[in-house]
Amino acid sequence: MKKTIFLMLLLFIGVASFKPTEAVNPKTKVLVYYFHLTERCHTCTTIEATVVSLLNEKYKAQLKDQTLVFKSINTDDKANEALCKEYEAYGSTLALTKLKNGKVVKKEDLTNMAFSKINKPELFKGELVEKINPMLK
Amino acid sequence: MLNMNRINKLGIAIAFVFIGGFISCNSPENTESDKINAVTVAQTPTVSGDILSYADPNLEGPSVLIFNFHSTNRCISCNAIEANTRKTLETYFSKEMQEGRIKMMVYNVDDEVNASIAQTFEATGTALFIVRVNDGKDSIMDVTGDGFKYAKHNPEKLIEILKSKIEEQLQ
Repeated sequence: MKKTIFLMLLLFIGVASFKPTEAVNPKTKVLVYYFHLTERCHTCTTIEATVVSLLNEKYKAQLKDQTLVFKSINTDDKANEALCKEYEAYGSTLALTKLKNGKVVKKEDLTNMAFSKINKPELFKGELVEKINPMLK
Repeated sequence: MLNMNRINKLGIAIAFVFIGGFISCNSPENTESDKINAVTVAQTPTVSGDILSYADPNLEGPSVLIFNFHSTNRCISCNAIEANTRKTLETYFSKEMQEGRIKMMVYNVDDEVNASIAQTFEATGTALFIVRVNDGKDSIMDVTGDGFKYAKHNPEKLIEILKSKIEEQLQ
């Protein structure tokens, strides 16, 4: 009996950990989150602006029907604490999340790629598209 | 009347300064070599853009060069990145720093003298690179993202990442 309860508890914890911290539309397939501090540098704001510009340019329909969701999140805001913890986002962080039926299937941290390629916006955008497209399928 | 006197005195003083300056600039004491020296002093030596020139050629085995770039106007994360990189080196690699096996270079990308090295790394703002140099070859690892992600609110994690990556590069 104890073993069954323990196994059920484990199963519950397992399922719970795959649910995103924030409530999402079951239709949503990809979350694009950009985390930042209150005090932001030029590179940080440029990364966000470039991501937003790409999404508006290539994924307008998906943004409209919420297949793809973009959020800019301030890591200094206490209200975002749980979300920042989930993504280990303590400062500027670009994260992609693939969802299926409202549950997290895969997470990808693109922060290093973003900071190293932002000087070449077309290259940065290209890599982002390569990551987003398979997640939308 | 008093004011007119003051203005006249001021005018005479300015005239003396101009004339004095003209005479000193054209005086025979100001030789050709002085002019050359003046030009030399005014020029600041530029920083090399060749990564390998920063490594000690007398050292055997791999060495690590840390390049940290920043703009003139620095944000809180940028300052935290430099501080925590220094802390990592002082805490875990003081011996290698003394030997010259690890070196840290910090450059302002807005300063023209650093243009060449900034161009080598394509750095236009805050950036952090770990470079492994061995057998006359270099390999560059960009850890800027880790810096921005952790430096401010989770510096221990950044220090842990830097320590592990530097150790890896020293192998």
